[in-house]
Amino acid sequence: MGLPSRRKRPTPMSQWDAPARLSYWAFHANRRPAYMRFAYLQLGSDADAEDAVDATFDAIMNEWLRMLHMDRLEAYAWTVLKHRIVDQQRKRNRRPEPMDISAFEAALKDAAVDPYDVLTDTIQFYSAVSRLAERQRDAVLLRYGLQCTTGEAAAVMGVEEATVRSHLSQALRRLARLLAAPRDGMPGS
Amino acid sequence: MTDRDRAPRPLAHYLARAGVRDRYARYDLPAAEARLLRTRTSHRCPWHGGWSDPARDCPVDAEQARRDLKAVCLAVVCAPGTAAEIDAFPAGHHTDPAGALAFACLLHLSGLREGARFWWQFAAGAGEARASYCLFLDHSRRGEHHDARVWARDLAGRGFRPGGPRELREVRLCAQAAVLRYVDQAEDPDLGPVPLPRPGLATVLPAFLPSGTATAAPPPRHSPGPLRHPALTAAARGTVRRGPAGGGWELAQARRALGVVRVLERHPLGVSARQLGRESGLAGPELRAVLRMLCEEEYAWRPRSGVYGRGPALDRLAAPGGAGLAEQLQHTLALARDSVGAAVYLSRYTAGEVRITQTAAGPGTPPVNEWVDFRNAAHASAVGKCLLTQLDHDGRADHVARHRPARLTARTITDSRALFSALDAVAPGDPVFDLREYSPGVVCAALPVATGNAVGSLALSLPAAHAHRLRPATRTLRSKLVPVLLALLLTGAVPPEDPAPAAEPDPTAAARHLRNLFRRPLHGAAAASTGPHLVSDPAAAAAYLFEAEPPESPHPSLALPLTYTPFEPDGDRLLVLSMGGGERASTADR
Repeated sequence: MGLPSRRKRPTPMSQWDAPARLSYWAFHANRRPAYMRFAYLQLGSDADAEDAVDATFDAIMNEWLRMLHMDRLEAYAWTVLKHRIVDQQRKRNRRPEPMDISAFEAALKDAAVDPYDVLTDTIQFYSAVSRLAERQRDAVLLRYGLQCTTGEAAAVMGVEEATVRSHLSQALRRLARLLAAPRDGMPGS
Repeated sequence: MTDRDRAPRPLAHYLARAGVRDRYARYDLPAAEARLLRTRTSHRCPWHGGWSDPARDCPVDAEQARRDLKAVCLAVVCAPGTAAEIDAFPAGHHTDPAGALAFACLLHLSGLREGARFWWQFAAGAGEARASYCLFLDHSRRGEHHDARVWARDLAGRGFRPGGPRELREVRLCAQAAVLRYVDQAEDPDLGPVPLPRPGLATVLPAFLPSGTATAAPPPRHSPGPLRHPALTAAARGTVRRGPAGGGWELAQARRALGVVRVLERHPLGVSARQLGRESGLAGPELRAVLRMLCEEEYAWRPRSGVYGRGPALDRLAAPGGAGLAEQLQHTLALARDSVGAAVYLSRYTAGEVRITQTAAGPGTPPVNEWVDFRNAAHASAVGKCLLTQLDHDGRADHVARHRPARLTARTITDSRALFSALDAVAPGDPVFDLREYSPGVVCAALPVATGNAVGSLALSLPAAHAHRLRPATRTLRSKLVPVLLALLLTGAVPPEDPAPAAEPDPTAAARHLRNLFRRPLHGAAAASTGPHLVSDPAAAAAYLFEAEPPESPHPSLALPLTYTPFEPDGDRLLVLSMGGGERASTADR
């Protein structure tokens, strides 16, 4: 394999060439908001989300020169984020149900409608989401929670857009069954 | 959790409300960049070399998992017995877990990652620990650490530790392309891509071998029983599995017996065996087997050689309110207990609970000591698991959500995903076993009882010291499904025909039995007699069955009648009938 070895000490950023440094900060600026929002939904605290995402980009910085040779750089970065979120959950030694956080966050979004009605719906929805497979759950969170397009969700997860679409269609089919909801009137992706 | 009173809303409604606030619309990016430049605390999982261990309490790095998964796949594919397993895999209707594991690993090495995951899940559900390890690595590889942890727990429950030589090398592109030529890509809307092997797939295996010699590997393991993934079978057939789960042969046999019983009912004075054969359309050996069972269960009796009449069981069954059915089933269970040599149980899944409805035990065949309420032990007991297999996924998930699986013995499966995949591996109609999962001293087996839309099971329990008898006893018990199903058919709990939507019990069967039973019109003073009575109403073409109130009832209660609606009345006026005066009277009427 042509990748630089991961066993030796990472090269400090001061010794990187300019394109590597530029691409790192561009990637950081591009992904930081989505990563933060996703991490917050898993951790339920701004400070924890910030710690997890900082740790993610710290790890990515250590690996960046190697990652530039990868064909799926975004996918690897995504696994690093997921790893750090799990670490952060363990460090806090508590397990807030991520789906409850999402439900409350969604209910707080617009105060115009009856908040209890919205909360009932979002709790139902996110408790159904918690029963999906993890990648379907992630796709649903990105697409409908963070309201990314399928293209954006695919970029964040580092997979093909078609893959995200198939995760979403499987997830929606299952959600419709879990919520006993009719599937017609579904917005196209 | 879900509000069932409310009309279901379209999914789009939920999706429209699912969006969360954007907390970081005005995020301080320069501050974050400054933090990153300052902090140099890199905490990574120490890599110990060799296989990543699911028991270690740290999520596995994605790159590490990717390499390990490739190494496992190479080891499996290059093992000496793999060619035979891959060859045998389609012949066994894709049910052998070792074959599924080998096929999945081959798919993974060829780039069909989604299909590989499906077959790993299948093999893991069938008890193949290496497939669970593959899934642990596959989820870790994609950063799905929650799902990876599920499989890590599954592996910890089995005491699995990765071992063996770990060899990594590049797979040649020509080998990958060769595999794709021998794979059919099927697609399932729920399961995603489900690749199926074509004959001759094993011929590509040598392309995966290193240029040197093949590595040594453990001999192929075989599963203890016939295993089939129901969803997979359905996908392969292009049909949806529905209707009564399993019990195919037994149900057919019970229907044949029902045909014979109908003939017996038409001839109250007895009928010769030859006539029976002609009217029921059964050939000699088949008829003899049915008649032997009917005589044993007292549906038929033999006044003299070669002549058969209707037996007392039919009158028992015709008693109203299910009491007769219970009595007859108890009789059947007692016979089953004696021929099986074990305590026998009949159970149902009603109102979301596991209920043991009837038991036959004896001094030589002690019943299970119910040290934990059976209702809370569906995940551990054979009865509970057998009932759960007949529910759909949502029904199971709902049950497990209401009854958290508790660890009752060292062998109890407490993880609901592991439980579901174990249940999925049971073919429809096959027995489900409890090998010291509910109680350390007891082994059990349960068979599904196909009862229309209801879910039931027939089960046995043996002391663990008699575990060697479990398999033959289960086989004997299976033959006892026929009389149980016959009793249910006769009372209309199962539709007598074989219609596609096996939904409601046949109302006409129940009505026919009522008419056979209630023959004596009540007039004047006789109407005051206690006991159940039937009011036939020609105006509404309905019959109302008023049952006698339970004798030990402490409070006076109003008993509402049961209504049977397509009912052909005897006369043209309202008629109150009580039970006929025994067999003699009812036959004399004809």
